[in-house]
Amino acid sequence: MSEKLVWLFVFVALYWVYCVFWGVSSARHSNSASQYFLADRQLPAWIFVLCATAMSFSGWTFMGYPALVFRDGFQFAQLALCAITIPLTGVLFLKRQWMLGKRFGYVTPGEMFADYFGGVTIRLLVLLIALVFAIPFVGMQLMAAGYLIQVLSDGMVDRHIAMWVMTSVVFLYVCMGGMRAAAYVSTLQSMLLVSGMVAIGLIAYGKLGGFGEFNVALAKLAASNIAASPSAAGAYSPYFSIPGVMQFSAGVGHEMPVGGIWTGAMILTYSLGLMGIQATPAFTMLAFASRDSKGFAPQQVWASGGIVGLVLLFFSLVPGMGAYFLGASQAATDAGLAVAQWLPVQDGNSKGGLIAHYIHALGEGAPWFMGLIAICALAAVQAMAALYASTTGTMLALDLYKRFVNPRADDRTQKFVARVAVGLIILAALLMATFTPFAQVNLGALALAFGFQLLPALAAICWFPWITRPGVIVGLIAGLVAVIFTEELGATLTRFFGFPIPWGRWPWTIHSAGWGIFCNVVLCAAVSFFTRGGFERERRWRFHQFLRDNSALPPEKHFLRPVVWALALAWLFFAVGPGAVIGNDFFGAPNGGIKAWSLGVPSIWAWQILWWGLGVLLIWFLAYKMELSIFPRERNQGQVAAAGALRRIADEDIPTTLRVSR
Amino acid sequence: MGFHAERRLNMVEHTFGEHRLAIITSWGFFGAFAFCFVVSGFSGGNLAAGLLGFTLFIVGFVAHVILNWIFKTDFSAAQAALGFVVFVIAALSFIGSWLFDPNFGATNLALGLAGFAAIVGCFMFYMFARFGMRGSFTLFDRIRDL
Repeated sequence: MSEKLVWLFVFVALYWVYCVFWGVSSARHSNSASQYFLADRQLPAWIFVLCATAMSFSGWTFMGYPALVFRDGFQFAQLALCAITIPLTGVLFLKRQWMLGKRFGYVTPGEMFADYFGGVTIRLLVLLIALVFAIPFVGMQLMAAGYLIQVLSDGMVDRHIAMWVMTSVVFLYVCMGGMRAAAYVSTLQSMLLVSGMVAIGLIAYGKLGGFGEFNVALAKLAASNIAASPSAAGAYSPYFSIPGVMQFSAGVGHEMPVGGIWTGAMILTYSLGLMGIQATPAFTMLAFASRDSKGFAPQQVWASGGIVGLVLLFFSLVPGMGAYFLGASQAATDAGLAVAQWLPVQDGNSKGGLIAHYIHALGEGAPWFMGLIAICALAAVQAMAALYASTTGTMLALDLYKRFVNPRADDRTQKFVARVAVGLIILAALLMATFTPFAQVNLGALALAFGFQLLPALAAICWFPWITRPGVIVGLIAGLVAVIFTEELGATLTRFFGFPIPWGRWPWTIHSAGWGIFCNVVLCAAVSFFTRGGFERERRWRFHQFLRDNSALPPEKHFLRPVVWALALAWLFFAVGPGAVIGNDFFGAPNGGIKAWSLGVPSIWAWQILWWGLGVLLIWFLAYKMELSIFPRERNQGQVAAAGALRRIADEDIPTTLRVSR
Repeated sequence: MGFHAERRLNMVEHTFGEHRLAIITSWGFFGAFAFCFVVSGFSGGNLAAGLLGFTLFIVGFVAHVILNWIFKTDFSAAQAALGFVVFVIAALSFIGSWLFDPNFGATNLALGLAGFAAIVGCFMFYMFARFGMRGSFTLFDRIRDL
């Protein structure tokens, strides 16, 4: 066994000991169902910050983002601004969901939706969305982790075996300790996630000769003609430009857009899809499990927007673009652009394994670091897997078993069913990844867009009492159907039934999340208009009255509302929307060489950095100044008393039994 | 036991668990990177990497002290014993390598001496700042009396 394999196994073993230790430790504090499902609603702010960050970014930013930057260039790197858009959902909804969870004692989001809207349809639809996240989406990430181990072990460990063994450890600690174990383990996982991304970025900088040399190499690449697809934005290389505001192409599989897929419309709608991460049922449960709301704003503004944004733009981007100069691109090497032959040539589908090859290459000189960085990657993947498995298991136990099968189930039975459900979810994810990877990719692709379709329902609960149950249900179903038929799954289904649709994936360079939310919002608004009024409105008003009493914006800040709307829309337009195309050459023509770049870096990169900085300011303003994520200290006497009442309800007045008996 | 009393007991348990989690997570993070940098320093004769590793160990120690302050607690006997054992093993490994490894160069020697001296210095600074000169020496009496 080689030295690097020994180090890899040593680090993996230590990491597993850490995971199982917290599983066992948490199991001792999970006597009641409430303790097992929601960590007794006592997750402190700092654990929430780390846990939510790991859950929001996970393995797809660690491994997927650099690989796609390598494939598509800076036009994909615009998605680094997801560090702002993802927490934007949290800013809008998280505090209010947490308040409702504390006030009414909800355990699952299904309970909250069903209590607010009435009926069982919405509960089942939410469960469906949670399952799509928990099984195929998580399975895709586990598969990537298996591939990583296969590459690092030089093929000695098969990726399927690696995936099954690693996931069995996840099952062990989640099954034993529930939400508490998943959240506790995710603290180290999130730190490893961020530090691993920084480490790989620094290694890439080191191999490239530093920041300056990297930009010199980029200038040569921009002036060359080695891009896989022809350019669309003027004569600029597709690697350095966004290919227009929108292209009316039939979609991937039918007609490829010229110059790349990442048009302004695509970036905007994909960013909307990513916003779905913090709208997922799992995230709502994480909010319910929080002791207080103190962690929300720091997570959204500083951990996510600040730190992860910085890391994505300055570190994770470098392994992606730097791979051209380190031997991963045969075309770049042939054109004389390579500064070192450090990576194996990556082409076609193998581009997805780029980060695995970075870590593998590290093993030649410093095998102990290879072991540590491999753990960073595994931690990134497993953080999300554990939390989604834990929360979805709880939802199956409460929203399905307890609601429809055994309403009198006691704590012990509920915990048992949740554990079995966790096992089944993980087993299903593994079986799909092993035997039907194509179906898993098809279904996993739906997850983000599905999650985003909950936006109108959340908006109804948190902000708009005029949205009705029929409106939300019709809109949600329409949105889910639109997502399916603008993804590969829809094309596959229609081909199977003999009436193929005339468009492919993401027609008009609009992501399925965009098509889905368009249909969803239009139908939701129309149906709500025609079904407004009635006795249901009074029940819904109970929730909104509570929210207004406890978290209304002070009158002296009301004038800021239109300002904030204008700022948020302007940011979305220029940062991740159609206006992003201005960044192609705003700071100098990409192909003009480094002297033409007024800030010394490619114009599109400078544009991304500029709007990232403004984005942090925006969410800071929303979270703190507009009080969307905090309870301010300085309030008038009445509001302080109301907040005090809320805390009393939260901490003391909800008996344990009531919390799980809905 | 009443509901409120049970609640208070749970809070104490939560705080204890959170402190332990914070400590283990902090050392899991800083310790892992520190170890890798120190190994890089010794194996490749890379003074900068090795010193960075020792610095990270000190950062881990400072983080531990800060966490203790936040949670209003002190080093437990088990933590102190574990830290002492790890330090002694590491120091003996260094001395053993110095004496018996023919490839152990001057850079490695400088690295080890500087690193261990920095850790000891940091520990002594903490002791004097926390307990004072007399209080620190009194702790040895307590150990002797155990």
